Order: sequence, then structure tokens, then C-alpha cells
Amino acid sequence: MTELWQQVLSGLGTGFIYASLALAISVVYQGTGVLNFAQGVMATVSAYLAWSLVTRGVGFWVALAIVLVISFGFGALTERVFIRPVEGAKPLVLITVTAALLVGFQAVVAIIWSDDPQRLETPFGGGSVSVLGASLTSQQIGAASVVLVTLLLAGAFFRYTDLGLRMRAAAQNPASARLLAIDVGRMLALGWGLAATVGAVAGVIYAPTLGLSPGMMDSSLLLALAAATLGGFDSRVGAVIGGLVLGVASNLASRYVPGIQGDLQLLVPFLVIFVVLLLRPQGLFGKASSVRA
Amino acid sequence: MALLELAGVLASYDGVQALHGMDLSVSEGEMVALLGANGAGKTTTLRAISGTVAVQGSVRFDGEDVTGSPAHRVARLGVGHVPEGRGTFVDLTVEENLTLGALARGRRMRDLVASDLETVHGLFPVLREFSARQAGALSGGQQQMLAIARAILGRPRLLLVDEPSLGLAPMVTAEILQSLRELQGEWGLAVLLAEQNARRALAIADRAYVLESGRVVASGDAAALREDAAVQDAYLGADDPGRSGQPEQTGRTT
Repeated sequence: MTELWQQVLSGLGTGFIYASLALAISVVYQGTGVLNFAQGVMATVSAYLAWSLVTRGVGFWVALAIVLVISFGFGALTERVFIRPVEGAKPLVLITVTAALLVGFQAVVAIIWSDDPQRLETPFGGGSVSVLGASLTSQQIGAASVVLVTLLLAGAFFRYTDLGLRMRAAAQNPASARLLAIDVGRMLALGWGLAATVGAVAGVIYAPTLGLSPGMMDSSLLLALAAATLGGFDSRVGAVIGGLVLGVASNLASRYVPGIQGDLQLLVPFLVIFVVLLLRPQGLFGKASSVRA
Repeated sequence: MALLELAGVLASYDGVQALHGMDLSVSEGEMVALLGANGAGKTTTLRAISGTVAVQGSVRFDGEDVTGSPAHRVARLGVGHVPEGRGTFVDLTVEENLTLGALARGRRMRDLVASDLETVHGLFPVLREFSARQAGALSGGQQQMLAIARAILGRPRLLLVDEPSLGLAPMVTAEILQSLRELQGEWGLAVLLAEQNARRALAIADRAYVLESGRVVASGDAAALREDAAVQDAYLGADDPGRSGQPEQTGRTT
């Protein structure tokens, strides 16, 4: 029992990476209708920025704060420069643009910081904590807590603030939003900025575990896309829950299903997606698309 | 001076001309009806004013040239638009829809939001009752009320209303128009009402313009137009909306 509990908890730990990237992807998707394949590498950029600051003697948390501000601007700018010009284009065009961003940003990261892997020290120290019998490192606990708080803050922002309400309105019905004096273009850029910030939290806080390399977020991005599919792209809550479920599922599978280890554990989430898409194409929390009067 | 003034306004969709030199004006606190068959240009005229279609010519609101201004900026100046098809945020609650309406007023009259909400709830009690429901769960008539309530919570100086009677029972339409009339008096709200049902619109409006093929072909006091036999026969005879005209810009108006 303790063993199972241990596996569930450490699965949740990694699940938070997928959850935050999935949330970012779903915010962007709801706002601009774009599936942003570059969401992961944007978090990678943030992680490298933090690393650069820390190696220059800046404290971890100060570096994180600086990086979050920069990441927000970076996300908003990306929308302005790369997405705005193709606004309203066919889905295939948009997907091509974000796929190009993925490759492009990854190349830029390699040029600036080189391909050599780097290490970022954990800010949580090397100890371990016992949670109802399971033993977790303080990095695992700390990172999960920070991301959890971030996700709750993001949720509260959309739910309870006027700006969050305006952003939801702009995402849902841009034409009506404009008639209510909402600058839809600005809201979409804000959405991209916010998504990049949420991704940046995950990228920086998990960098000590993942290690820094241009492709550090690749498998997390795949799992985040899987999580968004599972939860439903048009549901922020669904995307987060999807991420946590996949984190636990792949961890349990690698422990208990014979023959599934290492990279093969990626099979599990895709099996989950396959089943979900067969039974409920809109995702567990998504709405079936319907024609509106 | 007129609150709203259109002079020689041209507008087209995909190369098809919808307005051929539109001239009209609305004074402060006045209720004006736009009449005409499907495709006459009523919807396009409203969209030309709110900045949701590209126009040439001159659109002036409160003395300011708003020709070609983006829609959100026109709205901020105090133009409310209840679009055809209502445009409610179906996934948001009734309350959130109304909050968005109140936010549209910006810094103007912000201290009046609470009492204005009272007024709106008084006009449409059903919106208070269903305040926590998703707007998409409301009936057509209730959504129309919500759309109008949301627009007036922005405290517009001019309210554009597109076919509020479309798909609604006559009783509901009458109720909605009556509410508008009350507010118009209390708030000094000017209303431009596009309506296919000429009889109903003329019964409530101060003045009216009759449109045909994107132009004004007749205008005057509502009472005079009601009596004018020539206008009646030529343009207002059709109470049956399916009788005349080509379909109006299907799919572009929602």
C-alpha cells in the first residue's frame, strides 16, 4: 500500500508539469484557436534565462520573479509578431506556424546557450519529507506546491477578476466582446503572456529535476497535449486534471506493468488518449461542438 | 446638434455593395426606427455605426468622426449594439454577461452600476432569477432580454437594436420594446431600432426611416408614416417577413 501511495505521489509530482503546460495550451487555444506546439520550448527559454541569472549570482527566487515578468512579455510579443498576422487563417496554417516556432525557438536556445546540458540547483535543499508513509524529496514537494499555487492563482484570476472575465469573453465571442468595448487583440496578447508565464513557472521550478537542454520540455509537451486532449481543450480545469491523471498513470504503469519502463511509459498516456478520443472526442470536460443559433 | 449623423455612407461585404449612400441622423433621447425588408440594409447600417463593417463616407457620433474606428473604441464612446442573433456569451452566466455590460461603461458613471443593475432587474426580473445560470440555457426571449440588459448596463448614449422581435412571440417583443421605451425616458437614451415589423416599430418610435436597397427612400414622424398610404403600400405592407426581398447577409451578421 505504501509503495502504491509512493508511486501515486511522485506521479502527481511530475503531473504538475504536464498540468501547467496543458493549462497554458488550453488558455491559448481558447483565446486564439491556436494549438501552440511552442508552449514547451517557451518554458525552456524561461528555464535557461533563470539559469543564466542564477549562474551570475542572482538568488533563485529573485531570478524566478524576473523571468516570469520577461516570459509574460515574451509570450505577448510572440502573439503580436507571429500569430496576429495569420489570425483567422486555416487551422493547418496556424499549426504550421507554431510548429515552426517550436523548431525556431529550440534552435535559438541552442545557439545562445549551446546544446550541452546544464544543471540548475534546487532551491529546496536536498532533504526528504515523509507524507503519510511515502518519502518525497523536498524538491518534489516544493516544485509541486509552487505549481499548484500558480494554477490556483491562474484559476482565481479567470474566475474572479474583471480582466479575467474580459479575457474569457474575448475568447468565447470576439464579435460581441468588441461591442462591449473590449479590445480583443489586447486580450489575446495578454492570454499568450499569461500562458507563457504559467509555463515559465513549471519550466524554472522543474529545471533542477529535468536538467537544462534545448529539448528538456519535449516529452512534457507531448504529455501536456495528451492532457489537454484528455481533459478537453476548451476546459482549463479539464486540462489541469488531465495532466495530473497522466502523471500518475504513466508512473504507475512504469512501476506495475511488466515491460513498460523508461521511454516506453510514454505509451500509456497515448493509450489513454486513444480510448478517450474513441469514447468522448471532446475530452472528459470539453463541450461537444454544436451548431449555435 | 444630432447625436449621430451618417452622411453618404457606403459599405460592402465581399465586393457586394450593401449601403449605397446612407444619410440619417438621431438626436439625443430620441427613438428612431429603421424599417425595410430583408436585405434593405438595416443590419449593415447598424454595423456601419458600431464599426463592425468597413465603411466609406462619414459617421459622426457626438460631433466626433468615428468613420473606420475599431468597434471597441466606438463602444467606449457610448454606443451600445444589440446585434442580430443577440450575441450573448452562452458559456458565461447571466450575471457575468451583465457584469461585462457594466464594464463596458469604463470610468463613466461607475458609481451608478449597482442602482442601474436594480433598474435592469426591475425591467427583466427573470434575469435576477436566473442570474447564476449559463446564458446558453435561457430561452430565446430571455436571451434577447439579456442582450438588451447587457447593452444598456454599458450606459450607452445611443443604443442600436437589431430585430429584437426575430423569432420571439409578439407578447415578449412588446414587453421588450416597452422596457426600452421606459429607459429611453428615464436615462435620456437614444435608440435606433432596426425592425422588419413596421407596424410594431411605428407604434413605439418617434421617427422612422424606410430603407430600400441600401438607401433611405422615406422618412418622417412615426405617426405620419403610419398614416401615409403610399408608404404603407410600397414598403410596409409586408407583415409576413418571408414575402419580399433577397435574404440578408446570412452568416455574416452573427
